[in-house]
Amino acid sequence: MIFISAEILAGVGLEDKLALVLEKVEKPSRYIGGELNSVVKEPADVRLRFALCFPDLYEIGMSHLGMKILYSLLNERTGVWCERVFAPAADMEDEMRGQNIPLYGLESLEPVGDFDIIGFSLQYELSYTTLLNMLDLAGLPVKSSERPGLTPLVIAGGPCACNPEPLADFVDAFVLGEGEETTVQLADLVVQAKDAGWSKAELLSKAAKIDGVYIPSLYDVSYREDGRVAAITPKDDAPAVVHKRIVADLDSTFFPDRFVVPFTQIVHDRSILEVQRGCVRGCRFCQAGFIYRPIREKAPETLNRDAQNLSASSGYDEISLTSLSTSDYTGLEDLLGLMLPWTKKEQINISLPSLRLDNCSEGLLRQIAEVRKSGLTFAPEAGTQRLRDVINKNLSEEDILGACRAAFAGGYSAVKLYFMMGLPTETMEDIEGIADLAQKVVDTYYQTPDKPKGKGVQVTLSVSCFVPKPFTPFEFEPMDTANQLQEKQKHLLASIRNRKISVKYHDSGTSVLEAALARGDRRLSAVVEAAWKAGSRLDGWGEHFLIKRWEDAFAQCGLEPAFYANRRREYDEVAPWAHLDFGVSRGFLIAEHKRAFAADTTPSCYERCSACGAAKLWGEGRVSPPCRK
Amino acid sequence: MQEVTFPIRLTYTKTGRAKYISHLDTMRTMTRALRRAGLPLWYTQGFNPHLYLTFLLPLALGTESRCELVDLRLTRKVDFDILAARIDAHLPPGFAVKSVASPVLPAKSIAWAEYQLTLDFGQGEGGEMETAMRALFEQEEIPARKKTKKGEEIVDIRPHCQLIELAASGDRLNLEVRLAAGVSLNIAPKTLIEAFAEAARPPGRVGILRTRVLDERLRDFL
Repeated sequence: MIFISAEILAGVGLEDKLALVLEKVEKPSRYIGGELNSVVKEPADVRLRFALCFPDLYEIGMSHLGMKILYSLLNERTGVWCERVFAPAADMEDEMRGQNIPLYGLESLEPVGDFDIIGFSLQYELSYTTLLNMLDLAGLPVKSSERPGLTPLVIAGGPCACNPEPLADFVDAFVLGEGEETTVQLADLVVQAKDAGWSKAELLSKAAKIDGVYIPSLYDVSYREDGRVAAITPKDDAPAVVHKRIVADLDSTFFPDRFVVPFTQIVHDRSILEVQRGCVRGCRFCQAGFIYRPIREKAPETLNRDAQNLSASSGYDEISLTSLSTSDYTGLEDLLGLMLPWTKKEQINISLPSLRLDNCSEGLLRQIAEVRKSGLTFAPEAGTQRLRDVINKNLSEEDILGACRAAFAGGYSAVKLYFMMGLPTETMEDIEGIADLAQKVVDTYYQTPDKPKGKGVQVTLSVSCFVPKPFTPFEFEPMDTANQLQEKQKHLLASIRNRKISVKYHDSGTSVLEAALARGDRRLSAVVEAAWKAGSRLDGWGEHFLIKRWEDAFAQCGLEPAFYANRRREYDEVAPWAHLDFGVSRGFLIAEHKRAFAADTTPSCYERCSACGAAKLWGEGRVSPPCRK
Repeated sequence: MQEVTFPIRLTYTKTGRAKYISHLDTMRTMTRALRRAGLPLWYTQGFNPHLYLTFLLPLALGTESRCELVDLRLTRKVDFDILAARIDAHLPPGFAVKSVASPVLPAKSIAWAEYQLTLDFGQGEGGEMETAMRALFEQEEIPARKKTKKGEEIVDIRPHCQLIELAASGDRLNLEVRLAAGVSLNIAPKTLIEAFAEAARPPGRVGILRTRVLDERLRDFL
């Protein structure tokens, strides 16, 4: 790797134009690159230019671990230069359009339109219009069919790629599952294509043969009269089903020893370790819990080495141990044992963002409290035991209160509790249950003898709207309408009679749109395009989101959001994502759906294998998948 | 018990693209660089220990500098040359260590700062603007808008501005000025440029480089 030097950039064309606008916009350091550990290569030595794009602002995209992994991984390769690209904020976009500054890579300040591969990370549905906007800012047609040239090839991956159909018109190729291996293979293929002078069609047909690569243009989708999908038919020799890829061994796979250290403060401004991938729990609402299966842990020694590397190269004073459920990581106490001595000496805090209530031991809490006291966040998700069983949260009220009691005894006086509203089978009683549970947490505080002295308790409820997602047992379920959700919100507020309890909501309008896009078919491409043309972008930001633009876009295309969001789907309906396989079988999802309605719980993978189907992803020759303990 | 600490004054440059890094971000950048350098840094002793770091004369966004000053403390003695090299190696592009020394003067002794200003007027108007600039400095008073806690007020900045050099070249006006600086009274180069814009014409592109920080008697601040 060659690290950036200021001189390299002197005299670059775009920089002169940028100088004119950077003093007018907010937080200009987001737009100039040059951060520590950013990678600059000599263009003459490079055979493939890769624009790694995140369809949201710098502060969000720079916080994302997947971007950091792919950035370092691609730049490790001689001949490949990967640069970061984020969506400009509204003020910068205006300046860019006004001064004719195209979207550019932060490392070279060169136009993204000239790159070979433009790769997007799809983390949430509300970023889709931003993806279109970034292509447009790059001076490219948003539609795949209107980009006949071999390059730039537009690819996308991330959790939303498990049903990428609403983006089928815009993206040339999707990467399903974990991207470390597939992205590199695609990059190699594009180099080969450039050398051999292939057409775009030739490249796409060869790309479709890479395991985990889905080319939407190689499939025909037909519809029934009622609008449901009739059939998805592969063209030529495209595979009938595309399987997601996983990285089998996390200890030997690539992990960066350095992060690009931003100047401006980003959302997660710290070192990040990934202690495991996948989750053993199987909470039925949680898409991540299914699409990232099977569970794979990383050894404490590997993680401790990664942590030391990152701390030394970044200067960060915080390390976050992330995963879907970090207290389920079996090596946690060993890892903390390895890390605490040196992190304490170097004034580094360890943060554990995803702890479960039932296995967050007192010893563990004490270990954390030793470093720093911040707020504690727990996620009961539902207010009554019945509903927690329906969603397979596998948490009892005593688990919740017991963990709170331990936290209060350990000196905490504020807890944040996450809940969802609009879960399948939910009644107003379940909503009241949220208020009751919060009150019990308050009572628990005052009953704890060794609680912090002279301090009142603060219980914050953060209540989001449940959105049914593909590849979960609830993918068949209708989502509550915006009206139903608003009524439940009102009811919850009326049920709370204690000022020590405060409530935060998510907007129900954005949630319904998220639901429509999450389970949408490729006819929604036209809706996404219409919404973008009407001015939609950065829809995840309240100040930019306008539901009217989306309602008009749906109407303009003769489609109804309710058809996608609020309709019950039969088990035999062809899902828009039926040709994509994420390991977990449809039979398992149906069985889990039935168990949910019987309020039957399913144990974690560590207690008993439920034969979800993901073990096949280990590949042949792995007789005993280690997802069973 | 008071522990023994070793005060250090670091002088560094902040140029090129680094001028777009705000003061707050500069503080974060410097903190991380010092941590990466693996130095025996002294942290404040308290509930939330943090790195002791004092920037003597914060720099405005968009301004370059050859003489940024920051004070910190170490828990044991380290050779100044070694310190300078270690810190320099861990700073991002655009930042470079100029010197490391023991502080001589207290921060309140800062009285002046010198700047090189480049004002671009376009269309070969440098010469005409040179005359206008000289005229400005020949005035008894230079009224300028200055932001205060109460809002904006018009103040006379003439006693706090000195013109050291002035030359026109083509479209541009290059000048060196000395402006009052410090905790109690600080005149930003932009205040002077705005005063000129009101009196004559607003420039297009503007380049500002801080070159020296001085005490009351115009000695380099050490």
